[in-house]
Amino acid sequence: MGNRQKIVIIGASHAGCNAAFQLKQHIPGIEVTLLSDESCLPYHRPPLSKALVKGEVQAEQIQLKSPSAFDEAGIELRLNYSVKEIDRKHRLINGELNYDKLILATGGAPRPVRIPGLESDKLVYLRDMSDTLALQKRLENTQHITLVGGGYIGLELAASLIQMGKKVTLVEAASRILNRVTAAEVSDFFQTYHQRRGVHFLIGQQIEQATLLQDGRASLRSSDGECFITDLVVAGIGMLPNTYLASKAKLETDNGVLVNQYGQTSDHNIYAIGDCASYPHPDHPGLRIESVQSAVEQARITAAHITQQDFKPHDLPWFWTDQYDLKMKMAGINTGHDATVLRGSVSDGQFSCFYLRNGVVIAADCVNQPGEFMASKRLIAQGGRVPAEMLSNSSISMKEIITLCHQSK
Amino acid sequence: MSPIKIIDASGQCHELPRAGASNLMQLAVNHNIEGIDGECGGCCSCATCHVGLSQQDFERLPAMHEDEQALLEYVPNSTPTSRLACQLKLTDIPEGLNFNVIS
Repeated sequence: MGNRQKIVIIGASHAGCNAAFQLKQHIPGIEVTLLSDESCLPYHRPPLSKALVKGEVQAEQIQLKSPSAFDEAGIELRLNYSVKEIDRKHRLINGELNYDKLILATGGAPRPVRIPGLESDKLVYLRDMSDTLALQKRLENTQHITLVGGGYIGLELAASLIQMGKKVTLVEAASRILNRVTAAEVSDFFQTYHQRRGVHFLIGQQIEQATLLQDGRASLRSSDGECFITDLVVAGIGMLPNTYLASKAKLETDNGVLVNQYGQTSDHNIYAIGDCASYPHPDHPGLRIESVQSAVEQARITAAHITQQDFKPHDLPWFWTDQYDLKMKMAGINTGHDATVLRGSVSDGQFSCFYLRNGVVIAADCVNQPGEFMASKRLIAQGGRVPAEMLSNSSISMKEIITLCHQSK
Repeated sequence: MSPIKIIDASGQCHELPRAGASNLMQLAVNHNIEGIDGECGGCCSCATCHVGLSQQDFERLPAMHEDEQALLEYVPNSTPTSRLACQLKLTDIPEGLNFNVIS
């Protein structure tokens, strides 16, 4: 095999596309075929709910690579290619494409929502480029949008829609928005910020019933009995990993395709990376981290493993969200924290929320504080106890805190 | 205008024509330059497009926005003449500059 190994990658988003280029970077002679079931060139997903839906950028401006980059790198990119079947015995895709190693980067699909009485054309999701472009078109004749789900997608979309002059109701089933990911202080801050700009929230509620009106709009009734009229419902309540192909090929799955630390599935010639993979992160076992950074990191590890290169150890997981003029960056995973510390001014929209476990910072949410975010990444990676009163004191710089904390280890 | 010179993480020098991108990060990503990841797509969030310049070259670039400055303060291996490539528009980069990828 050696340098002439043939690698096929199913899925050309952040994980798949990065894996293709990484493989070529390690061994230029390696054969790489990148399959996408979409019709457009691979693109950045984060702008879908922000700059792209608002029309601030065009689809071509959010491409992961320029159109000529694939040819120049010697990657065979096949668009509109849908994989029906993996034949593991003959290492064959759809009975026509051979592979030595196969990488599944099939991503995920929106978790479906069921609203009794609501016809499917009134309920849409946002996951792919085509979803955003279709939504954008519909928004031309839409006044009021109901968003189901107060996670990042829902909130980013709420901000975008308000900025486009739309009326927005956001329905969240949990007791607060961002319930699974941030502390109550951060959730409250975001809810207030959205409310001041006109978003109407129905918290701890669900849409129980929809009735189609003669003019084409829908009347919705919430679980608390609030009734309102809407043009369109957009649901964003999380995603489910796309494991259909893997299951059909009898690979082991459990909340994603099960893989080892190199991304290998139960068949060692097949890897899985990105949102579709249940990857055993050394610090967060059992957690399927859905993020661009995680997708790119897994792509890097798998590409290095296939080409037998060394790879960098794991970076701290990090995430970001942009809403209105707010840029929140999150470092680390806050699961299991036993205390939170606020630093900065919540009322001015410039603050960080630190998550501690046994006095050690394990995660941080930084709102309009890019420097504190970078500093937090260092602080968390370094470990060591930090007194809460020091962390909350903005007159002590993060540099001093990192130094003191390092000495106390 | 002349191509842009960038030295990748393994020391190899690349001359990139100023086309197909609006900023230096995109240009480097398009040419598969080792060490420039551009994970966040250029929204000044990830600092995975870290480059360094000589003092002389650094001074010829437009000034930094405060977000870029704040990120660079804590980026590993940052120097006083570091920049984030995503914040450098190709049209703002004068002739004859050399960029070193820092990873």
